[in-house]
This record gives sequence, structure tokens and C-alpha cells, in this order.
Amino acid sequence: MEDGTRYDRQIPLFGEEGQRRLARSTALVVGAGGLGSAVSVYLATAGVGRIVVVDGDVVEVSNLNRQILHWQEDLGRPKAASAADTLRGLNPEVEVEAVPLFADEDNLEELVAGSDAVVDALDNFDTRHLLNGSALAAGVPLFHGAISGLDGQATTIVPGMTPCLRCIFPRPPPKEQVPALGATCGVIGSIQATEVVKHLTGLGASLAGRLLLWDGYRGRCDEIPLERNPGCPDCGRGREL
Amino acid sequence: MLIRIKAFARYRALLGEASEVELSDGAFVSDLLESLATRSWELRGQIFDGSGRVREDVNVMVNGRHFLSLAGPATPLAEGDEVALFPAVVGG
Repeated sequence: MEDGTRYDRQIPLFGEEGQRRLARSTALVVGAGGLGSAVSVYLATAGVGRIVVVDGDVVEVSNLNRQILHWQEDLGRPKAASAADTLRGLNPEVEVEAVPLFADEDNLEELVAGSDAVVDALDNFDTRHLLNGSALAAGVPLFHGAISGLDGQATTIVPGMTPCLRCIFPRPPPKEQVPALGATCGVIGSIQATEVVKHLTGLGASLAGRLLLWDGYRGRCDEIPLERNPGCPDCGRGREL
Repeated sequence: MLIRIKAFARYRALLGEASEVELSDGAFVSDLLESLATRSWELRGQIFDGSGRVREDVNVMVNGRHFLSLAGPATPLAEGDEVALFPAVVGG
């Protein structure tokens, strides 16, 4: 840490040791869209020492209503590079690695293995299920979030303890271009970032085993208790079959 | 037997927040969904697709387990089961 003032307002929450834990940690943020923007901004400003941002897309003008990592001058640039510049600008103490690739079965294993927290900021369940498998294999917690319009959901997956993403959502829903409001990405991404910070510092009680549902139309938050699927092909008996 | 229903997002608007449905013993998830669908055409359209199958973008959780990780529409229900309905949320 280069000075003691940047984190003065959050150190009372988890102490100097908590801050050092954040500084020693690596967070993998898979997706630099709406959710990835909110999550990575708050992880960077909180002082998570190393943030790896994975996205193979380039910035388009239709991203700018919600993807606050990317600005007008970033149009046409790789999202990973644009994200890295923004995060370094927000907190030069943080090491940011840009991975300008779409997450797939070839690159996820290595990316996940070096992480202390894996953030699901993806926009489809096919890749989410791949990420789920990689996080389970590496034993790294996965922080799930998803949005549609004013709705959103989040949960925290702890390998071996909680239902995995495949237990909760066994089949990818149909692919569609969903409506997306920046503020909804902010709500859910901020919840994911809170979960990551809590996990890395040992603060509070996580969303493990609970699916949080945000209903922005009515300004309501609910939760559904989750159970593991003993026959889950990713984390249960089904894996060995 | 009484089944407790918890509906979220667009299903809450159609079903109300929480309710109970009386079904005959031995009923399945499909019976429950059909019972709910009789309440309105709009609700039917939000639960079933044009061919009468449960829509792929609806999540049905039975006591914390997705119905597709159980026996799908043929999942048996029991007195006091809690069934949650909410739309699939995919975007990022």
C-alpha cells in the first residue's frame, strides 16, 4: 500500500489485516460488460491486489448505457484493454491483467486456477456452466450474477459446500438479447463485489445456499433457499457417472 | 394436499406474492402448473409454450431444487412442499 489514506473509510470494517488480505488476493472477472463493470470497479477501488478481466469483445456504442468501464473514446477497442485502463485509473495500486479472449474450455482452467475469487459476469449460461465446472475443479468460490431489465439475481457458490450453478440452473435458458439497464447491473454487480470482499476478508455471512432475487420493478429483494442436487453432473454423483 | 407457491418478478404480478394451492394427493409439478395456468390466459402463456410444454425461460424450484434436476413436470409433490416460480435471468 502506498499510503494509509485511500482505504481509511473501509479499514474499520475489516481491519488492516483485512485490507492486506484484499491486497494479496486475485479476482478473476469473467465478462467486462454491465455486471463486470460494476464488480471490477468496486473490487479495484476496494484494493483487491490483482484483477484479471476476461472478455473477447470490443466496445460498441450500445454498450455505453450500462458498461461504465468503457467510455466514448473506447469505441472499437477491446473491452479487456479498455477495462484495464479504467481500473488502473481508478486505483493505480491494483495490478490489472487484461485477457482479450472469450472464456472457453481451453483458457478457463488456467485462469481460474490462479484466482482467489471467480466472478461470473457473463451473459449466457453455456459459458457460465463451463466457468462453474472450472471453479469447482479448482475449488475456488464462484460469485454468480445475472440481470434482465430491472430484474437480477445473485448467489455465492462455495465448492463442496453449496449447490453449484448447475444444481441451481441445470439447463441453459434460451439465448436472447435481454433488455439491460445500467442501474440494474450496478445493483447486482455491487452485490457480487460485496460478496467477494466479504469472502476475501472473512466478513459477514455470504449468499452461500441462497439465491437473491432483485425485483427492480417493485423495489423488492427476495431470496430462495437452495439445495444441492446429489446427482449433479458437475458437483455430485453424476460427475463420476 | 396444500402446496405453497412463492412467485417472483412477472409471476408475482400474475399470481400474487404467496399463495397456497390445493391439489389431490399424488399430484405432480405438471398438475400444479396446469392448475395455476387455469387462472388466466396471460399466466398460461407465461408458464407454457405454444405446444403445451413448460417454457424454457421459467424456473420452477421445488423445496430449493430446480424441477429439471428432479423429474421435471413429472416431479411428485407432497403436502407442504414449497414451489417457487421466477423467470430465467440471463444477461450480464
